[in-house]
Amino acid sequence: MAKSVMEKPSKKRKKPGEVKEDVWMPTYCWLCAMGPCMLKVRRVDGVAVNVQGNLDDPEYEELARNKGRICPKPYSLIEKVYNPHRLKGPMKRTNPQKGKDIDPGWVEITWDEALDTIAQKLKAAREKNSMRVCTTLTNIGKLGMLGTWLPFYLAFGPMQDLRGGSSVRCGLGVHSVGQTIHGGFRCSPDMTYNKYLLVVGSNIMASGGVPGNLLYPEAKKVVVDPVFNLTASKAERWLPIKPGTDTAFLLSLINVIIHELKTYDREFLKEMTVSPYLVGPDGNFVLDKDNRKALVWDMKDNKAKTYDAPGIKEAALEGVYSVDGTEAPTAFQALKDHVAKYTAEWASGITTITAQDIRTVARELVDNARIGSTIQIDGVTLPYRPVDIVIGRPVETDVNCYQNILCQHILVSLLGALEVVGGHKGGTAERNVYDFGITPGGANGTPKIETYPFTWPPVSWDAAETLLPFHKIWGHPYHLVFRNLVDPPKDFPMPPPPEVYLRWRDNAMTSTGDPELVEAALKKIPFIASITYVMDELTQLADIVIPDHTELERYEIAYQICYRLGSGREFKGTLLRQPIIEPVVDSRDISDICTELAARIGILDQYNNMFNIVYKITDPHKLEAGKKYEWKDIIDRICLSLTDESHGLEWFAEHGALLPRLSVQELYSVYHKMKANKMRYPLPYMEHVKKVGEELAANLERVGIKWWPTDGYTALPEYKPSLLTKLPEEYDFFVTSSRIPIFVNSINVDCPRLIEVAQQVPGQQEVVINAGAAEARGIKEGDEIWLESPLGKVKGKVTLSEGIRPDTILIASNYGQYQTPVARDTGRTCMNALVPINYEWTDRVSGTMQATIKVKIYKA
Amino acid sequence: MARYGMVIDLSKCMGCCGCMMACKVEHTTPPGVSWVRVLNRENGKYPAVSRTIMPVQCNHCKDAACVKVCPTGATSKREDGIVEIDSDKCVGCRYCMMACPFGSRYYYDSEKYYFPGNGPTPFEEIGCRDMQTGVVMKCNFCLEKLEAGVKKGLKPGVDREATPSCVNNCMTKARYFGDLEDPDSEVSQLIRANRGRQVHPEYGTDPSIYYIK
Repeated sequence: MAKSVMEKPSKKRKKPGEVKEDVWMPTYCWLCAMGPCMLKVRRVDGVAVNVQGNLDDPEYEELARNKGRICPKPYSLIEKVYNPHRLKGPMKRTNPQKGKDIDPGWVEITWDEALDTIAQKLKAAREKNSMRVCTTLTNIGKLGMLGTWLPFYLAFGPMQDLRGGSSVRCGLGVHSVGQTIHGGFRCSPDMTYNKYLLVVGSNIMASGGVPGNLLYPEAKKVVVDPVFNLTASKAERWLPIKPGTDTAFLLSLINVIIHELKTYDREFLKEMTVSPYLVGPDGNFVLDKDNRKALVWDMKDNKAKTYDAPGIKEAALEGVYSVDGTEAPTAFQALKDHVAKYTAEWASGITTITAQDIRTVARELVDNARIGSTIQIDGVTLPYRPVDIVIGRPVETDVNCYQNILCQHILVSLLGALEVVGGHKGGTAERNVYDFGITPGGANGTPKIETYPFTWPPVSWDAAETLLPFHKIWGHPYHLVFRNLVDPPKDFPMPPPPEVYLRWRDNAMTSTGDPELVEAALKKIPFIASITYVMDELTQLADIVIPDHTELERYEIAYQICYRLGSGREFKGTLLRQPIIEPVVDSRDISDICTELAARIGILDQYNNMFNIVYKITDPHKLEAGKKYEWKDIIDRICLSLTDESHGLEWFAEHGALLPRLSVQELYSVYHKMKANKMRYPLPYMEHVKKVGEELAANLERVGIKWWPTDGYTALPEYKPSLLTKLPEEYDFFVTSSRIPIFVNSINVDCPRLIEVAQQVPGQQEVVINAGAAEARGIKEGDEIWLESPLGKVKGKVTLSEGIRPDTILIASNYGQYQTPVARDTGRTCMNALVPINYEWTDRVSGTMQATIKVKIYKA
Repeated sequence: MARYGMVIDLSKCMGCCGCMMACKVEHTTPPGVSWVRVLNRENGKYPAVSRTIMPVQCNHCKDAACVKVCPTGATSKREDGIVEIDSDKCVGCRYCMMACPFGSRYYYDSEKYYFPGNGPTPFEEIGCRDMQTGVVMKCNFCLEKLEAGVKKGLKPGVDREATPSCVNNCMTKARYFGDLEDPDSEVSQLIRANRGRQVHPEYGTDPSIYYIK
């Protein structure tokens, strides 16, 4: 008999389980640079089942980074912890042959064998020199992201940085340049008050997480980008610029503001920058003969005085003045003369943005800056300049990175919008201090800048101490390590080779460029210990792998973190990450792994003592020599020490965080510190960069290096045609990359729910080409094509779009996994194999690597 | 009696798909099933392009076409305006899917998990333990949560514990929830102030989700 549709067919009906436990526990997400975002994770019968933003206290709406909301990323924490592909325990390779397609012959070993072997290798290398050890971990400890790492690093001694990034994934270059100007490790608009954002080459709404989004709808945006990205779709206007020409666009804005609109914040330039300093014929500031201080011209007294002389009546901003027989323009006049050639029409020919559009943007910047206005916040009157220019990663990962970032900051200073309400702020993540990098004591009233003294022969494999003086401030050109390990420049003596690579999570195989070079470099390191959670590309080249806890299984403390990355909004707090569930596999906490290694290497006493120093642990909680402490115990001691005994681990486990309310002085700390110390930003004339460049040139000549030109170390920004213009004409498409809000670099691309949801964002799996350009070549939607650069080629499926320039191709920047489970099966295209890693494609000032490339395309 | 509804501010939504993830995790929906979707379409010709980003889900229509066609009474309209599916009564005939003019219903044929070949993860074990196969599923305005919250005296749309997850977690604050019958509720005020619009009013189903720009 046929079944009626009214009849309920038999189907599996599971018995509703009796719920024994159902709790929400506080913790935090710090997957991306926008965190830490406060979370609550729901646990039902010992299983993590849900995530939401923590809004236990209504104050979190204001004080927490994420205001009780979350972006799509934290959901991946649940997928990650229960990923069935997680490594189940320590393993070692039995096949000495290493390679992408070679089976390492993994065999399981005990934790003791794994830790003893790693410790023995580390100890042997350290006995020669701690720099014989490479690691991915160097700076992470600073951020409180990895609690026991910093004590381990300090006890062990300096190690060679070896990571991915500085390429299609991360900007890097901005860090040292921004830091040089205003302590801006990472720059971002003051979004609480911003009203107008010029977004150049950035997809800030996609990469900004919650802090990057909650306040943006208030600001009018103009997006200058070859691609109509998500941010552009929420913007007032999209200006599709030709890739690699951003310097020209930015220079023309400076030109229009100074020469056509003639509207700029004179007071700011005079008082807060080196604009009035007189520049001599040698390009250096004219100094007072006696006290060697820079001179300015007092227009009232008609004579030169030192910049800080009491009783300067009116310092000249513009003009050329005669000092001791030489004609000296002010720094601002030098800029004015210098940019006269960079007209809107000139830039239009290079960027393809019309001169009219350039003038409109310049006008809008000036109008929205409200020059001269003030605002009162909590009774304190501050300058109000609700305008900023955001520069994105593809503009940073360019050999003209320094020029681009300098232009951005000069523009901001013309508008008077640097470190004031609504304007452009530097950001960093440090313990208990916001204004990292802003210290009095630099030349002529500027902040103190530390640079590497020229070091010969090179002492590290990235050679930063020899080639990149400004990297003393922050960062290393990681990509050069790979080049130097395989094929260093001739007559460039490298230090003794690394013997051990201690790697945690970071995956240089998928996050730099030229994967073949990276693989060849890694194969030169005799011993690689990988601490990770699944079998990924880098682990496949390792000798030993040990699995560590994932975020929902471990303790961490974001200890008195002062933070304003990403949103220009200060944040201060102490937050606890805590295990929501019992470990799922035989993994250990990275922090306890560090303790075990310290004990086995024989540095436990120094290591324990470093905790007392780094975390300021007070009596009676101080760690004693000779004892191994559990990470959980150490966290309790940190909590009690920093809260004068009032809040221990137990309190934090229940409440999640202590978030103090910030004063206006803290919210605009750089402004107040600059004023209090009568400091000036080194804009628009970066005399110190020029001098450092000259010194570097002399030193390089002395040691016979001719392949590292220093002409990029300019005091004023200069247009230098992109390297891409030198490629043969057959390479007729630019390839650029972009992020989506769902993935963090390549950290969570192996989470199947996120992969599915990401499909809703068009063009994230494929190679995006302008519809008209594709049609002209007979390429249709869904076709497979090859993209070939001078370095290599990659294959991808075509998605047609009207929201991209006809000469540009977009590839999402998150992929390239061929080993990581789940991610390897998605077949997504990655541009790494197109991008060379070498000295020529590196910015000589900022150390960033060029990541935009050109290709020719043809059907596969 | 309340009529629960939602307001989505399209000027704020930037297409991050956080609502999709919130829903997928809240309800442990299986692969291929998303009670919330975010439509993302490019319009125009280069360089004059724009993009329409629009989250969609069950509209909980006042005069719901799905309710009318359901032969078993599995789909019903509650007094508080929520269109609910009783899986015990659903026979999987999918008439409702044909009738829904918005394509916001999904058929879950057989057990599927996100790591194929590995069975359910512990998270899926717990989340799917009350889930049936061979039935139609869709957004229920996080009914379980809402009911439990209301029982505690909480107000949906105001108190998080009684509010749908997609609303609670939206990182651009583009989503609002509340009682459309209450003229003073946030949703009613937003609809009035911004001339909130329903999708396809011409179908005459009177959706409970309003869009503002």
